[in-house]
Amino acid sequence: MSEAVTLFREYMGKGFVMILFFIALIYLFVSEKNKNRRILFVYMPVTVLVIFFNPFSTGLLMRILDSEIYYRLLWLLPMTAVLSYTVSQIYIKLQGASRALFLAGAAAIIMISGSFIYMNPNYSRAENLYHIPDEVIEICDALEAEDPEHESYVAVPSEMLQYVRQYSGKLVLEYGREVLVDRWENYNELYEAMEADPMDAATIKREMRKFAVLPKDKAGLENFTEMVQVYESEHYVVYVHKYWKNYDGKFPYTENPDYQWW
Amino acid sequence: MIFIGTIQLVIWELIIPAMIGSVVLGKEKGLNGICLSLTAGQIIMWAVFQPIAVIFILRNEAFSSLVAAYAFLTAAMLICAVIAGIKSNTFRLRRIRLFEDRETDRMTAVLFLLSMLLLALQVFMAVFLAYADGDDAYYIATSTVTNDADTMYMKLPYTGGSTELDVRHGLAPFPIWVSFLSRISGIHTAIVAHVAVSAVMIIMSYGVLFLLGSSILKKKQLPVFMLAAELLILFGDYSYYSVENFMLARSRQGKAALGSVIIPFIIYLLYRLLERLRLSEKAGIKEWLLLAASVTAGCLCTTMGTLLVCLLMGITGIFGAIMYRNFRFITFIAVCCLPAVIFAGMYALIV
Repeated sequence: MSEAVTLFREYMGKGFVMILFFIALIYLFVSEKNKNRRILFVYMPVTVLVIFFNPFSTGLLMRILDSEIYYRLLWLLPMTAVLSYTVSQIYIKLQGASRALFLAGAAAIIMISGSFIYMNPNYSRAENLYHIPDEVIEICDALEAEDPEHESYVAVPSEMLQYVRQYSGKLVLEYGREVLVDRWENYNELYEAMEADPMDAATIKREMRKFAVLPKDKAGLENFTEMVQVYESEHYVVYVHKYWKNYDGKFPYTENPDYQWW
Repeated sequence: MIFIGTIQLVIWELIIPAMIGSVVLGKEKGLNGICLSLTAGQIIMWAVFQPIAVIFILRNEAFSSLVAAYAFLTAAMLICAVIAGIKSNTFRLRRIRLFEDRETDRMTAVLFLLSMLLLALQVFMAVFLAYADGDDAYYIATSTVTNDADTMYMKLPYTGGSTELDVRHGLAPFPIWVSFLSRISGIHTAIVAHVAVSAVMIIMSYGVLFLLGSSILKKKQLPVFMLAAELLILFGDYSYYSVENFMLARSRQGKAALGSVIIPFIIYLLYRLLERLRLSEKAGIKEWLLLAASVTAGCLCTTMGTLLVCLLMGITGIFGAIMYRNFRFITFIAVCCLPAVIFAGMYALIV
């Protein structure tokens, strides 16, 4: 039950839109005459809420579903449809100028209660049609060009993690997005070394398999001087493990053929 | 290349669905008919894609084989729809009027225009704004690697390493449908997902709301309904989990399609079926089949879709059966839920 309440609180955010929804439910319960609209816009949402908060069904459903996604049960509440329907029902009951006034008031209440989606900080101007930062695409293209025939292992800084695999199926990440989510508890030594400030050069050199993309402005970059640089973009430099051996058994990035690392 | 690919995408995401969906059209005309045929057609196409994709995934077949099989089936569906359309004269070109009558007052027309402008703005934003969402690292990466490696759910999307078949996600292969669009159009998966799929999902979501609004409201109220809905969605970022946030910001993900297209469309279909009960009319087989197709499409979007659509239909079915004392209604609803029960059973047995 308490977990359901916590999820409900998280779902409703500030809560104003949910309050409007409850008001609309009460209004429709009192005023709606059509049986079918009562079923879909009043009885069904109320039953969903009863199921959502009922300790027996909550326990059962949380066992079936992941408790993390239990909130999606609330997607069955037709909040947009119910609220819009209520607004249009009140609108039609009014006459003349009061209609325009009501519409302006309803629009203002909706805008004040909610939060404008395009103000979300996760939004930014798309740099290209891929919706992936240009610099990530530039680096991925450069790394793919290094060995177009085969997959290549690459370690990237956290800000690039979610993009590389969306763009390239040929680049294999040393660690994935799971290292960014604390509750998944995925520890990765190489990732920790990459994110340390200054970067832990010894660990990176030991753990990386082929490429490492390192931010130019990060402390510790001076400890990678003996490595072979294969690419440089505006904010990043890409090193290759100099004893990396290609699929023909040759060392394309170094003159030292005696090293037996694979 | 991108020009031809864009035309291919328009054909596969708009024209083919609209033609296939035209088979369900009854009295619907004008904008209503366009919205219904587009949405119903897309849902039928998803419902056909789901079982085929799951079979190919479980059999470890190459992605190319799935593309060939599904393209062949779609062509067959399209031919059947065209023949049916020619016979019933569905494709007769008509002038589309936004308002069928002359009584439409200026206020209604202005509100309708405003709601169309807001829709255009949202589609524009979907193309020119990027929303950084960590889940894309899974879903779009799955689509990309499927296209590149020609395998399905055999690579870890986060890193790219090889793995055993990921059956859990393989039972809801919405990302594979995105890969299909990418393969057929030759446009990169990331562009297809972030731009084409997002824009079409937003249009379809509003199409479903329009269908629902036009079936429950008078014509004068419809623009008010649409405008209020658009404002609620635009200002629906009150939490990270809201269905409105998913609809606009993460529309390329299967769970967004479930929340903003499939669930509202099932509500619309249930309303139509309940109205038939109220008016003591017999529901046609097409309506029940479309409901079953919507349930199957819900399973494509996310594994949780199986539960959510069954719950929605179960609750509504019970209320409908009790209020109209018609227990055939709940029986038919239960039959329509069978695809979800089968996929849920597979999930329970395999995962």
